[in-house]
Amino acid sequence: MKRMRRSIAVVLATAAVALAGCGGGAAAPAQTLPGPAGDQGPKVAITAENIAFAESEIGVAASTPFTLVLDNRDAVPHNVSIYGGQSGQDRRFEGAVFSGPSTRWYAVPALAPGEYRFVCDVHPNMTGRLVVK
Amino acid sequence: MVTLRPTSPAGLALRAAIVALALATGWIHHTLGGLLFELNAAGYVVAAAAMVAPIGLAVRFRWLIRLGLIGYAATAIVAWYVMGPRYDTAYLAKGIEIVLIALLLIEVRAYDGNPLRRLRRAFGPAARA
Repeated sequence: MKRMRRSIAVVLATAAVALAGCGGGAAAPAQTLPGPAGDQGPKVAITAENIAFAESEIGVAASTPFTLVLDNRDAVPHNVSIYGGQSGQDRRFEGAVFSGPSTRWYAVPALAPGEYRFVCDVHPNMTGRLVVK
Repeated sequence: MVTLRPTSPAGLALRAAIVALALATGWIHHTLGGLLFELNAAGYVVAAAAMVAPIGLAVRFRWLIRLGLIGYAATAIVAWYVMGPRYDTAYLAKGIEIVLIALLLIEVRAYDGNPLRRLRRAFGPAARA
């Protein structure tokens, strides 16, 4: 019985250490605004439905912070993150994941002119093009 | 020192916990939507059933099912570590999978002995001969 108890203790300690390690490298999701009252700059809307974004391309003005409104019409979790850079893998913004049906307002910082990808991190096949000019 | 047996209360509790954890992480993956997560969920359900099915073949190869489930859960953890996303439900699912692997390792140690030796015995040259 002593051996069993020791094994369980080892299991729990391992789980705690492993999970703590997983969190280390993760960037905290950007601020999710509670609603329209917290708007900043122009608004851009994206709809998530049937594990897909309705919009394949959106555009915003360069060097201007904007509000990204995600209307999640699915009963599953989604978010929007923005990737850019030469590889297209550099995360420029990470929106918090939330389950639908619900709507969230993301405060996105100003972006330099160029082309970016917006992606749902939960479902990486959900993707679109963000043009900043 | 107490030896773990499949039919002892501790052995039954351990097996029940393994099945419950496999079903729990399977359920979480099911709630995420999308084909990949549905397949992942189905894999956990099948593995959980195979862990308790009183079928001769499943009983005979329980050791292989254990190893397979360990590999399956470890792959899910590594894939998540690489791709994310990092949020509360994901942390919960990965925590469940880590505990699941640890409990499976306890069963492997108690019932199967050295897994490499077991694999060699089953699939190595001697088995083929």
